[in-house]
Amino acid sequence: MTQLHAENGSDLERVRRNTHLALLVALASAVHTIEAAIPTPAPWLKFGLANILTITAISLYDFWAGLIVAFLRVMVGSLIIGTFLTPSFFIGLSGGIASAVVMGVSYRFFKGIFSLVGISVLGAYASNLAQVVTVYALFIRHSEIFMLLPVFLGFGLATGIVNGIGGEFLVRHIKRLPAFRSVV
Amino acid sequence: MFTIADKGLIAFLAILTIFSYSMASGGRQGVEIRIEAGGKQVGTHLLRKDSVFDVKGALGTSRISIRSNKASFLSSPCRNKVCVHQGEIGKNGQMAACLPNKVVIRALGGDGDYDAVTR
Repeated sequence: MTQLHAENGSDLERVRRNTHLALLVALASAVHTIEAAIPTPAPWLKFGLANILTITAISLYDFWAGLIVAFLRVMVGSLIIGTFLTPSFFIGLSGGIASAVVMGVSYRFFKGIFSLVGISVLGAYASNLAQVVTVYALFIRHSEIFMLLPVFLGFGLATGIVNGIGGEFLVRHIKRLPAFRSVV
Repeated sequence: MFTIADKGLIAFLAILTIFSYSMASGGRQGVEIRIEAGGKQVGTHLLRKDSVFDVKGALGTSRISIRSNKASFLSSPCRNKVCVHQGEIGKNGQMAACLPNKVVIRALGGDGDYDAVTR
């Protein structure tokens, strides 16, 4: 099944990419799990530190890499915490995918204009919007929950900046590692 | 690390957030009070007309008053009286509820944009 023939360059690149993405998914799942234990003012306000790994995947590879890391991270993370298929799983999934899509697209088009901080802030806003909409669509059919939007957005700005700085540092560090040299 | 576009984006979103916060917390004064009993709408009352009225709920009768553009529960046949202690509501979107009696009152802007989404 797992054929690791790396005879020509493109095979090698593919294996390398899959290995790196597996590492990023593992790291993201670990961060996701640890973060669940960190108390925040309200249970639905989270730092989303695992998004640092999504940003990193987008920056090192492409849109699809970010989407894969975000999706698998929510899957694995929720299985570890035990929230798989619970409301918080769906809320987290919608947020993770929305932010990965927005960050992937905006990275492709605005790479030179925004640094990873700007990309990350956009992703945090997308994530929070998607989460509020998911809560509204699936769980609380009261438009009152949109009153919470300013709280989500304010929090998203702060976490977006923090995660962007984290992503920037991680990418800089990774690009210096010999194992990732081919990526750069 | 921060490009000029980053700073612009952050400033723009910060202003947007503050603006949306003042929108949500300030709120417009509601026009009418809608009463729901057992999940069904049983009536609406204008907030500018002072009145006191009774609503039949699951346990008995809840008495609701409207005074100077604000509505509140005067009494309710529940044990905790959470609804009564909740105080007055009047801004668009605010609500007070006596859950044991299944009576909910909600202040609305009167523009009807909530009708499609409550249920």
